[in-house]
This record gives sequence, C-alpha cells and structure tokens, in this order.
Amino acid sequence: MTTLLEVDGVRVEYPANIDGWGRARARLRAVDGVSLRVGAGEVVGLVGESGCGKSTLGRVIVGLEAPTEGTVRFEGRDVTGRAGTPGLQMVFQDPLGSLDPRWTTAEIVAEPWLARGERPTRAALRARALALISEVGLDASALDRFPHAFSGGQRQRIGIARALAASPRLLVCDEVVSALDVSVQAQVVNLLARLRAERGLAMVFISHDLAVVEHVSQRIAVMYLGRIVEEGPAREVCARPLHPYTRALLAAVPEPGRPRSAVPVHGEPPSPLSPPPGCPFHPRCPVAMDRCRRVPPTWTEPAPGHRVACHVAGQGS
Amino acid sequence: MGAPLLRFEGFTLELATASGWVRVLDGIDLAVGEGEALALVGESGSGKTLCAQSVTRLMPSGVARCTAGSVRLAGVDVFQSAERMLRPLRGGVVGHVFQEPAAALNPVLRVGDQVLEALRLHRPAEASRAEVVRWLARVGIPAPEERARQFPHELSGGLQQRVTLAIALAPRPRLLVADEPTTALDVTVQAQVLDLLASLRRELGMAILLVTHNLGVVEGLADRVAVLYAGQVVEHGPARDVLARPFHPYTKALVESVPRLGRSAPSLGSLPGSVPTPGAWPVGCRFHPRCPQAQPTCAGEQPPWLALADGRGVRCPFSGEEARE
Repeated sequence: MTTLLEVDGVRVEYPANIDGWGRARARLRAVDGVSLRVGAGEVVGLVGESGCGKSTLGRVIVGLEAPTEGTVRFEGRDVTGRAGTPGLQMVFQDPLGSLDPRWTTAEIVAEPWLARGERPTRAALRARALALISEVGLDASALDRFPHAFSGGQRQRIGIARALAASPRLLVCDEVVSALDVSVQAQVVNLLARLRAERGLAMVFISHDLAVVEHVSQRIAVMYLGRIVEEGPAREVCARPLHPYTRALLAAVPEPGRPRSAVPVHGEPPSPLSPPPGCPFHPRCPVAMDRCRRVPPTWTEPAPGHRVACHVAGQGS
Repeated sequence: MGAPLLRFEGFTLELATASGWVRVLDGIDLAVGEGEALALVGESGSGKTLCAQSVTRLMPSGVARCTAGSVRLAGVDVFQSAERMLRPLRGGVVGHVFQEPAAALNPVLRVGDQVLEALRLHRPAEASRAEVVRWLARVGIPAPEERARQFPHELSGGLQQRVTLAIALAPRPRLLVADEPTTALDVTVQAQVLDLLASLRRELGMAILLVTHNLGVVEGLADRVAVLYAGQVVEHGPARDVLARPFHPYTKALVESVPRLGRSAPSLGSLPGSVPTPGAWPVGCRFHPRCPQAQPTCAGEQPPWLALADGRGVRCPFSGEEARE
C-alpha cells in the first residue's frame, strides 16, 4: 500500500485569554505533536471527545488551517497550510451550514469543476452533476432544488457529492453522521463504505462514536487532549484496547442488549489551556502510577502495528 | 393500584402552522406509574418530544390544541386546565431536563441561585444555601460551594447538565421528564450522567419519562419502552424484551441500524427514506412505504393496535401473528 498522506509532528496553538490590548496571555495547544499515515484506499478513524483536537487536525490536513509546527505531505508533496490541494477534500458535520442556501444542488455539485477552470456546456455540466448525485443515491429531481428542501441525510449526500466532484483520493469526513438519525446514519455509513470500495477512496473519518468508527475504518487513532494515545488496526483497538482511555471510551458506549459497565472514568478532560504534567490522562486514569504524573509516556508497540503511549500498557502485562 | 401518575388516553394533538392545524400526535395511549421509568424512542419528527412537552403543556397556548383524548397528570386533565392550575405541576410535580443545558440555564444568574429559585417556588421551607450545596453535591458536582457561585458559562457541558438535574430534582418531583438528556454530552460524560440518573431514581423513588433517539441508553434506565413513528405508538413493552426481540418492522430496522462494537457486518441494516412529515402521513400503515415486509393491504387500512402477551403490544397485524407463533 502506498502512503497517501503523511502528517508529521503537527502542533497547533491558538492565542488565548486575550487582554484589552489584544495581547494573548496564554497559548492554547489544540494539537500537540501528532503524526499520522494514511495509505491509498485506507480509512483511518480519528476518535476522541469534544476538545481533543480531532477536528483541528482534520482542518490542518486539508489545509484550512496552518499548523504552528509540523508538516502535511499528500502524495509526496508538501501541502502544509495550503487549501485546495487537488485530490484532497473535506465533508463537514453540518450540511446546512456548509451548503450555500441560494444555490441549487446542480450548482453546488458543479462548482468544483468551474473553480478548476473547466468550461463545459450547460448540458454536459448537468449530465455530470446527475451522474454524481445518482452515485450518492439522489435522483434527477434533486438537481434544481435548494438545500433547505432536503432532509439532513439528503443534504449530507449533497455535501459528499460536492466533495466527489473534485475526484478526491482522500476525503476528510468530520463528524459527517453525528447529526443524523440512526436509520439515516446507517444509510450514509453504507454509502461511504460503497464509495471506498468502488472508487478506492481513502478517508480520515473523524467521529466521537467508536462503534461507527470501528464500522467504517481499517485503522483507528484515539486522541486525547491534542495527542494520539493509541493507534492500530480497527478490530484490534476495539477488541484489545491497550490505553486505559480507549478502554474507558469503549466501556462507555451505550448499546442495546449490552449492559454498560460501571462508570469507567470520572470527571472530564482537563482544559487544554492548562494540560497536566506527565501523561495528559493521568488525573482521570484508574491505573495511574507515580511516574505517569511526572513523565510523558513514549510510544511502544506491544503488537505489530498497534502502538500505545502509556507507561502502564507499555510495560506489557 | 389506582390511577397511574401520568396517563395519555387516545391523546391527539394538533399544531398551528402556516397552512392551518396539522395533526402531530395521533391517539397516543401510554401510562407511567409512580416510580416507573418509560422511554419514548423514535427518529426526529416521530413526535416523541411533543409527547414529553404535553405532559405539562409546555407549548405556548394558541399554537397547540388537543382534539381528542386526554393527558392526565396526578389527577389533573392537562389540556382542560387553566395555566395557573398547571404552574404548580411544572417544576413541582414534574421536573424537566432538556437536551441543551446551556439553553435551559439562565446565563446571567449564578447556578446556585437557580437551584435556590426552584426550591423557593416549590419547597419554600427548604430554600437555603446549605440545601443548594447539598443538591449540587448530590448530582456529583465537585467543590459545590465554589461552583454554586459560578455562572453557567464557567461550567463544562457535563457540569451544566448536572446543574439542570439539581434544579429539576431539588423540588423532589414525582416524575422527571428527561428529553435527550445526554445527547449533547461526550460519551464518557454521558455514561456518568446515565449512572447518576439511575442511582437518583432508586434513591428518590421518582418516575422517569425518558425521550431519546439512542436505543443504547434505554435499557440501563427504563423499565418499558414505547416506539413512536409518525405520531403513533407502533410498539410498546418491557425495554429488554422489545430491544432483544422487536416485533414491529420499524423497531427491527431501528435496532439493526445501530452500529455495534465488535460486529463485523459489511453493511449496516438500513431503512430507505426518512420519517414522513406531519400532514403528509401515508394512508394505511404509516410505515408501509419504507417497510421491507409491506403487503398490498398495508396501504389500505390503518392497522389496529394489537395487545400481546407479557405486556407487549404492536401496531402491525403481521408482527402480531409472528409474536403469537
């Protein structure tokens, strides 16, 4: 498998606590030294809770945001902080907020071609738009309607069609099914799986829902407080989680027919403005040792391709 | 046992829209006894939130009317009573917790004062700072004395939801109506809040009406579950039985579309289309256009409610047959 995307040592900092003179009195580290690889046609799931930096990382990958430090390489070329890289597209959580309300579906889907400088005839444009929206499961009647006339699931399909118009090799999907009802969520998840199989599309699938992520991904990276804490094959990470945080996330997933175990972790993630010393998870960790409070953990690879940043898990069991 | 604490009987609700009155709930029959927990599940637009709001008629008068049946809460006919009759029920007999804690809290009042206000209104004898701190501690807020002096924006979403719980529970309601109480929370915080709700329910002996689209949270909290589709109850029964062995094709499809950990299905069971909007409900069985098992007769007459054994019931003649086999 050839490597499509290489993210190396990405760090994103924002000025925070801005005073009356516009001076930042603190730096908020949203992403703290993340490296990630995505192969051609591979789906990598990025999971974590609100504020862990997963969406920021997604925006850095497509170049909507420039990292403070680190590089993003796509197909071997450095695309750090550069938006509009051919072959690299993003689909957003809120389809209504990311589709222009005054444009018809046909116009929305055709924009990437026009933006690229193509000047096809109207008829050709319509035919291509129709082929695309059929691919995502909409029919011809959708072409001349406006975003407000669609349901949430249909809008998300339009957002996906627009991303596909640019013939991407990699799609960054940021919480694309989170706002949808469970039956519609299943429709969109199945659509993404089909697109991957038919187009050989690689994806970075960002979500807080581990069950959905396991379903669509080959590999999973778990983020906590701006860092990846565990990474490995999707099945492995969910069946044999190494990091105590991954274990807590898995135990917290409510599922019909599976009694949830007792509260896995207490409290909430600390503020990225004042990250704890040592391992970022130690204040909530049920197995934290003295060393976790002082020394940040380094990566170990207890099983092939399955990495973890944890003093306890790294010692082996 | 006498009359249940809450009873919907053939309750039919219409809402005012630009194009006239539109029926949104149609012949709802449900009951919640003292100390009992019922979950209402369904997709957006199924009517589950309107059911929850009807318990104390939270919608503004003039835009909602009950055209048949009734909602009776603690002996009061909710849609036949004047506003002033309902006021002691809201917050007193029934506590409410909503999806968005930030929207439910007053942004310019310290959270402790908001709990105090609830006590003053409904349990004036107990309205004191000490009692407020006790309630904040009881819903699992660390350092409750300091937190009581903070404003809502200074708290995380999980802590804000705990504050709305304290406000709802401090007057010791007999029924807690929780509308998607954990939907806006992270999964680890959601687990904490669900456990808290379950333990407070045991402690306080209150009844719960839980509204959720997440089938996973139902079992841990509810004794019974009612599945809503297009303004009607389509299946009803003990939560564990319904989720383990659903009868109605809609319930089956809902259960199958939930992605589960460690199950490597190539694709999720999925339903085509989406919930019909009120005013555009299909003739016959409202689910038939999306139903994988639809028969020609399903488009004709509306299926009647079938009561089954073990406290279960279903609105589908074919599921009824299957259940009896």
